[in-house]
Amino acid sequence: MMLNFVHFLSCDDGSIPPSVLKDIDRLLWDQRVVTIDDIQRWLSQGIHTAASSFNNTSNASSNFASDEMGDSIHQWGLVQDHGGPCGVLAAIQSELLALILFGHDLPCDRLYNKVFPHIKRTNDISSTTTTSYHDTQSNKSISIETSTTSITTEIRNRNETTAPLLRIFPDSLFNDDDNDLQQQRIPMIDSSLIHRSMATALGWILARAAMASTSAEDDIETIFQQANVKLVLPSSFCMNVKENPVRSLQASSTEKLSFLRCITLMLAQKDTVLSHSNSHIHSPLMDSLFATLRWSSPDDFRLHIMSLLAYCVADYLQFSKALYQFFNADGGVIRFTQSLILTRGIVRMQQGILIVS
Amino acid sequence: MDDPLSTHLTSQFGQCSQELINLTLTGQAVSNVFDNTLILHDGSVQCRGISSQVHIGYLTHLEALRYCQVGSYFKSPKFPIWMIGSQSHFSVLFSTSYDPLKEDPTQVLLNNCRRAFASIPSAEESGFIASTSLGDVLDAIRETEFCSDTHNLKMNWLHQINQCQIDKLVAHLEVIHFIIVILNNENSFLKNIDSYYNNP
Repeated sequence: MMLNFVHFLSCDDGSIPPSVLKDIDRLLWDQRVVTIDDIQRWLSQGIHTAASSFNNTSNASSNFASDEMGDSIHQWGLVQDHGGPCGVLAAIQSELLALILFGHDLPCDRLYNKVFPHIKRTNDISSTTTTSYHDTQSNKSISIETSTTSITTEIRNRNETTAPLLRIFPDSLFNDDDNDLQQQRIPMIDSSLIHRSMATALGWILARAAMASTSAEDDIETIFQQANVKLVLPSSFCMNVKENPVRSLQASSTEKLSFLRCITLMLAQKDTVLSHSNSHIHSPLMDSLFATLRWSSPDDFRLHIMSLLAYCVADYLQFSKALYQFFNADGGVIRFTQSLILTRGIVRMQQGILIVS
Repeated sequence: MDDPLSTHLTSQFGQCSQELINLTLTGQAVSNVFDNTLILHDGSVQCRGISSQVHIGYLTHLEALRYCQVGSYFKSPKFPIWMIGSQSHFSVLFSTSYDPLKEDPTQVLLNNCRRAFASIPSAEESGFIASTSLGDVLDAIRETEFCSDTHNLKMNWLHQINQCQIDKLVAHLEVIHFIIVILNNENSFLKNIDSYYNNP
């Protein structure tokens, strides 16, 4: 089964009515127990790693830049500054790890490989314990060797004959008796991989919320109708991002929640007229991926569309720099949670108890 | 949400509720961590749980304290990564290899049986089913994809068994006054049927 879809990443940015924001607040906070401090802690928490900290750029660089690769947890470990939103952070962290460690095993393997087009994975058949990557941009080869005691990464510049060894995980993580590490595929952890994976992780969570079924019966048409993801961004960010990224960066850090606008990303079927959208961001990469989609069942189709949507969100977050300037900054967690609630829809979320009289 | 009117996504101290956790992990803001939907009071009340396998699993200290039971969908996710719910914090447990997800085939079968058993209304809470529901349970087990591999466990009979034989089995259970099938530990439920079928 194969359909010919054309993908549009359409941005439908509209302001969020205050009533909707109130509804979100009502759903989010239990007025009987919540305190101003509780809310304040959510508002001050961003989604960032130690290495990508938005607010402490200078501190982070002094602490971690010298050890750029060695302690990779600073690259992929999210930092929680305030208590409360740990559940959302843990979910994002889990998705991030899943993409870094096992992204190649997602059903949309080829999608993932195209998302990282400059890193080609080559499996050395003669040696099952070595996985090689070739980065055509920086002209570097990376081979990852797995041994019984540690995982080491070797970066080999073409001009160099000696290769420095980098340890992604410390030896102590692994038991000496453990011989079953041969199947591991750990990509080299660098900031672009983390950046991409972080954007995709947010995309996956939102895409799932957009497309997870509410009822048992779904056909492909309804799956497609659900395919939109809403991102919550401050209005000044939406307006300024194209002309003056620096200004929007400053604005977003001091932005109050009352100026939020909603950006809807959606996949559109070919020939569908999107009347209420202001702009189309055409993504040739996604078009080519879409043309190669094949599926065997509505569930399979749902999963494919879900991953496309996730990568769309990732594209958008990277293209518009919204990831670093907005979700990484203070309040990123609450904005992501608002996105999640808007994407799922309050009505769908409250479907639950079913009283049959 | 089982109770949409009074459920909030955060609780005291701004902690995430189970609904918000489930929303991030499954896309559905369901209230429970068990598999599928639990139907209570003759179908008038549905408690929705996890409906299919997830990418990221979830484990909680509440299960160790026996306040709840996490279903196999959350315990056996696609990737060896679990969100861990503890008393005051959510954290992440992960492995760099798939080994922790390797399951004993018996365990997989038992999980499938459990789900099939729980699909009968009120079976989960009472721990037993009416003998007339036995055919439905066997059908549900048969539908699970794992059953294609059950020949390793000498479960071929499960595919061959027909309605007539199920009726005979049910009749036999009633004759010996063994009208309650209890799914306890081990797979005693299937073993009982298996032993009956192999030595009628």
